[in-house]
Amino acid sequence: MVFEQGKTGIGSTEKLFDMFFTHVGTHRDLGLTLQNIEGDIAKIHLPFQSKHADSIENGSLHTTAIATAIDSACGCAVMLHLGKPAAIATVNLRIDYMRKPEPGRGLVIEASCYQYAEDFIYVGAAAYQVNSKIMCCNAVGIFKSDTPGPVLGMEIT
Amino acid sequence: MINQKLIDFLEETPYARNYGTEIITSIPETECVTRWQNVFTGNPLLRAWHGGVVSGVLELTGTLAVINSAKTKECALLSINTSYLRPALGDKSLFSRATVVRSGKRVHTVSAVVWQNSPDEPTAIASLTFAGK
Repeated sequence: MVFEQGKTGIGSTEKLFDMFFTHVGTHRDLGLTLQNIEGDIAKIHLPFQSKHADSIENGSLHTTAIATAIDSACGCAVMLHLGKPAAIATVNLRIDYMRKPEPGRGLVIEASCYQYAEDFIYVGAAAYQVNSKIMCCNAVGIFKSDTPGPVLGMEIT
Repeated sequence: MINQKLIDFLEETPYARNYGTEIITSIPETECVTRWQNVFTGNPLLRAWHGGVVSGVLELTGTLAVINSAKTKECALLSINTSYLRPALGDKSLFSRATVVRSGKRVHTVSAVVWQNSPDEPTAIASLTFAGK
């Protein structure tokens, strides 16, 4: 996969993502945090919480929680690529699940834009177990930028 | 009439309880309603549903449809492909319906749709593939 070089020049990227995770209800509920940014790759941490587990005893993170975290991680990758806060919308998201996460363990999601055309941004993402190279799922998404509506985080730039 | 297995599944599964999804009917197709909660917010300025939660509702409805039709209690999601057609507005419930396209020995293929105002105006659609156990 060839990653296009994005325009990641804004000085407050971490601040923007911090706001993205603390002000959005779903992100707070999932406990999402930015692990780090490596070039155009956004690494997002999804901790294990029993309320998002697939069973009461010995539960693993359920696929619905992973899907939400992947959608958000892809959104981060899009903003990283655009280099500014923007109103974006998910057009299509496909997620393939290869392996169930180990019970009680969180995931790290790596997302990055691999191509863009006009307003459409193509993103790839993968979820790995924390401190491991075991891939649990892979995703590809299409996002549209500059959709109508207010822009979250515009006031901090 | 609602299949008791589906009610049990919703009560016993932590993530499903977290969604608060209720079954409207399970015959002939599985239809559910998920009521708005602030923790479903994807964009606080628009007060809209998070795309991942919409995808989660589609998946949960699809899972219930497989359990309903395939006489299995467990199924694992292999793949989900979601297309987002309209914004999902906050403060409004999401209605969902899932149809089992084919239920084989090991693989179950499901299509699912969510809407807010009318089924003729879908908010999102998904194609799901499950592995049955």
